[in-house]
Amino acid sequence: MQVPELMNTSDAPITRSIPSGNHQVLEAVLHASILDEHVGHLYERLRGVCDPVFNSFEEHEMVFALKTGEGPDILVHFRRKLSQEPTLWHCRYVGTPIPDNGNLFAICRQSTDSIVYSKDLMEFVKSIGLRLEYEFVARGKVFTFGPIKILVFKTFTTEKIGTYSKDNLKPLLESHLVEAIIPIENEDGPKYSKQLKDFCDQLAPLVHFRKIDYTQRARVPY
Amino acid sequence: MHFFRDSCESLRYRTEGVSLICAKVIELSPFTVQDWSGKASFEVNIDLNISLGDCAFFLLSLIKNQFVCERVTVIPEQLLEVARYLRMAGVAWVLEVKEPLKSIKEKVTKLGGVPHKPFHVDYLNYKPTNSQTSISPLGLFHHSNFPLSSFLLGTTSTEGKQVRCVADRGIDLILPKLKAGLTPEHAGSFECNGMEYTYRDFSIRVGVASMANSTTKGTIVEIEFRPTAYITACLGLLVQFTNELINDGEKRYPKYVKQRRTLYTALDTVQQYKDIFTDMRRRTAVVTSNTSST
Repeated sequence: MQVPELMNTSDAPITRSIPSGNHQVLEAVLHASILDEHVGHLYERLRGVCDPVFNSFEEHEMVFALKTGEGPDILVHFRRKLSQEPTLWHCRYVGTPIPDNGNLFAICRQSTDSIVYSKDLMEFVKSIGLRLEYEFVARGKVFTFGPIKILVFKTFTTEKIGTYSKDNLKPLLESHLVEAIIPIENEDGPKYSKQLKDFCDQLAPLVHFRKIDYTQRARVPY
Repeated sequence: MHFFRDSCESLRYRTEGVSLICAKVIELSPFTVQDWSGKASFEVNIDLNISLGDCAFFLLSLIKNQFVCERVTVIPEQLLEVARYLRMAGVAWVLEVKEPLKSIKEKVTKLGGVPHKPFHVDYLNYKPTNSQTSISPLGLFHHSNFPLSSFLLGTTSTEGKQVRCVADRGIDLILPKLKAGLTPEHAGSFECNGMEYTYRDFSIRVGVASMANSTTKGTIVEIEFRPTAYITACLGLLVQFTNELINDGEKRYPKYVKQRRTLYTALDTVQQYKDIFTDMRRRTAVVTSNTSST
């Protein structure tokens, strides 16, 4: 007898969340990195400063591109919890950063999110014309400080496409990536990005957060 | 009063009605239970002869945004896993009827159906922007019985594969970003508006289907037998009930009978609407003077 598929909401990735009903969010983001050997200190620091509850995560993200005739490709991110069956995916479209008139302390951009339940995601993305650009597995911890979310994770790539078991995963760098995000309300970029920057400055000199304009750098495919 | 079968996790999203959960007692004060999905706490205002570690069915009513337990039935622990599969998703049959809306509504009310709430189904087809690419058309559906969800159904490919996804409403905002690949075709969009009636274990939805917000295309009836999601368990009853309700001499069968599947899901309901809308589009517009909405 066929067993019913029970979709458990806890199968959804925890690093990306959708505050109820709010699928389109303007967010401010800052990045930093820290060598593997010092991550322990960063965790201690974050445990002291942030909210008491923090979580570990291991998630697989695939980034697809839709080739447009003219202009840059449209990128769509699909993220899932690296567990048994890949059925619950967090789909995200990240907009281009809003123009900075010198009063923004972080990269501010629009993010549109959706949770998609699909038994065969590859079939779905293929039929809408998306091609895989790159993928990675992120393993680390997520902390919160009120509305601010801090992710500390290490990126891995798989040596064998399609399998993501621990033996096939190879680390990409000898450091962890740190990402700090805050949702912006009332389109007040300067206020919330300043709030984010002030919090991030507390973590110096361990990590130095920077406003990295990733759109200017050439994407190196790997 | 609407009755739901929930898990500890899905209780959080329940805003009305009476819920039934099956869980194990893990704490007595505050009264907390746990099942396969998570934990839940609620008020208990009856004399409970239950101890820590017992498994039971709990009938919970939502009173002033708080769940209150009204009835408890203790079960042996071995049944906890079995209870997990007793889910409340109905089996529905969606069909098009030739008669006008008013006449089918009369039949439902004569039977004893009580109007519950309005219902609405809409369908928007996304077509490939360029005909040369390997992009296939995609249908985006919404059904008022699933207010937070969006359904995506593609066309069945030659290999028999079909895109079938359930997503939340955020996907409605992401799809337009892919306009380089898919463009919405509003001229071919469909809508079905009407009323939902409850009659015992059945939910009967009758509505008028219209294309591109203007042309009326026909009347659609959706009959859902709520207690089970196992098709084989209720197919006979569903077919007999529907044929007797419509009572126009024609004996019908739902198309999915041929597929010989055991479980029914919300996507199957939406697929039936898609098939009907596709048929309607192929035919010429039906203009009947007495399909007035009430």
